[in-house]
Amino acid sequence: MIELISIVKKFGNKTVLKNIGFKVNAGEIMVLLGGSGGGKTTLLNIIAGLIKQDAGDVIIKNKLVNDVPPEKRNVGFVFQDYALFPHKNVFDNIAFGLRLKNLKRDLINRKVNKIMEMLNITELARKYIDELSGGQKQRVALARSIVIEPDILLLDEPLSALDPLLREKLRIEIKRIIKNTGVTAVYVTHNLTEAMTVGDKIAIFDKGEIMQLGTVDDVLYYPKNEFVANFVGANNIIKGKVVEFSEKEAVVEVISALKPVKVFVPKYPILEKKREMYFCIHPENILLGLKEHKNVLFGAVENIIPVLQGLRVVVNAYGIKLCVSVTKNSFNYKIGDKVWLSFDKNSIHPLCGKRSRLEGKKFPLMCIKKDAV
Amino acid sequence: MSAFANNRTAVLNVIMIFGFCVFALLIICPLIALILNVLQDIASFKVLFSYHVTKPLVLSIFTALASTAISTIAGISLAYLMEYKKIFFRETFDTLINLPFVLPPSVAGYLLLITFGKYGLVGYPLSFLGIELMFSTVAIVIAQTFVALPFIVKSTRTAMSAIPSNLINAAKTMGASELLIFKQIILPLSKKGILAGIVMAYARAIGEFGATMMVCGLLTTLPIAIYTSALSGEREVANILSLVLISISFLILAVFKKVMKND
Repeated sequence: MIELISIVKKFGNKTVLKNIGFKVNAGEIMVLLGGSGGGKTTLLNIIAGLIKQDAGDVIIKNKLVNDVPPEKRNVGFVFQDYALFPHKNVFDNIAFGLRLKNLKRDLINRKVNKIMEMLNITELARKYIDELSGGQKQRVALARSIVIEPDILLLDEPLSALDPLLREKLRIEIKRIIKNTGVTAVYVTHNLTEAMTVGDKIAIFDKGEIMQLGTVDDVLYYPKNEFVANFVGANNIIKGKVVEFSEKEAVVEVISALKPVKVFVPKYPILEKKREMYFCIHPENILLGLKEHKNVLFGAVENIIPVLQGLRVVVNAYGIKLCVSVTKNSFNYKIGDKVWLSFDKNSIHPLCGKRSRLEGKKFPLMCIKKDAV
Repeated sequence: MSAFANNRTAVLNVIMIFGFCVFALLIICPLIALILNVLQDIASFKVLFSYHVTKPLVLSIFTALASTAISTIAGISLAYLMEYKKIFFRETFDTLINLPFVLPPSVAGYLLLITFGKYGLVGYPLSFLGIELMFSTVAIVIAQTFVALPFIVKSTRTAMSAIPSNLINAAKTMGASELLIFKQIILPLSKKGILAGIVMAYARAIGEFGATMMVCGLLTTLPIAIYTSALSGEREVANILSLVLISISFLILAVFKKVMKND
């Protein structure tokens, strides 16, 4: 278990961490997600004790560790550049931490062999670091940091130096390994897919602040603000005014539209208090060319952008620009074509980070995001 | 265009020929001169085993070993201090450590005299304890250490600064103490730089002349013996001593090259 309370860190005049606080329960993986320069790595260094915070507390396993030096914190750290010792072979790299604990040689050998087996690197034992591939180095770094049975495992962009295919394979494996060992982990990445695959909880970082913290589902489907919405790919953001409020739903008038456009939104508690706010819709949740859902708009295709999963189509409907995700085969329009758009009321959310009262209804399958580009 | 390019090539060629002439004149010619001098009187080789040669040779080899050993320990610790500890006036400190690189040897010798001499800053209190440092073997070691130390500090520091800080951080998180990190990470990874520093320091120490001359009293090291024998007309001794010193220098250069090549 780890708890951070109001961590503040400044480098010179620049505040890199502003009042950061969160708790990771035992065995959970917390992912810190955000662009570079957001303060994520600094936070890991503070947890490990390599950098001292200017204010706030770090609590590991219910013990305040503010003044405990890094060598006594029992924290495993997987560095972005792996930080493997080039003058030692793989076995000695992994055994390094165990030898410091004055364990018997037999026990050390057994532990190192076991972890090497677990990570499929047994045959690399006698190799030196510069003889290894990126993926192998990554496994050795992971083995070295978990063999000491740390209370907390910190991982700083562990897959960022690998090629995309290997990264995809390893992110699933890394999660399995962390879960097998049962260690509490804090995992830093800038990759949304990686965060979704690995994390139990995600904290979205921007400029030293946590923009939103929650489960994968929370941040993905209930973004709290524009930054998070854009970050998770829910980049259709519209400003609206609540004009009607009934038992089951609210009616919102889109402010930026050229003519009055009304959309139906689930009944969120916040809409009772706040009349004007931003809403987001995932591009995957908008149907193109069909009027199947309650919310229907009419517009013109403005742009067609090829992406990994198919096409991203920008449609202008009465001045509202909406991105729609479609597969290449299902799309037979060209730029300038008029087209119908429709979306379910459950797929539009006010940017407040909360769920609606009538929650419980599952999303249609199509809105489970595979990746955000 | 091509005429212009040809002109430039011609200028470059002239400069290269000039460089080679300087090299031939200043390095090749003196070596040939020495070999010719030695060959003129083959019988003079017996001087090699005479008192005139062996005494300064032994003195030089051992004082240089002692000063290199002191410089190694002091140099590594100073490099560590400057690289890994928070110290005030780091830049000033760095300049002071490198001072012997640029200080004229006679100034160095004079400074040592007014520091360790009988009435010097350190020498005076020591004289009360009956300790006299100047004009002894110790004085030679002090003078050699003075000039050799910066070689080791500089070379070790360069090697230490190349060690990625995350290696040290990784060792820390695995529970390593400062001493252990020094022994197991920093020292092995800066080994090459340290060895190179040691080789250069030994070369500098064994060849030290100016400062040693001022503090050695009646003792003669190899370079001083060459100076005195050349001045007093004992050419055969000067020839052989020079040959010995040049051989040592070549040997040191060979070791240095090997150290730098081995990874």
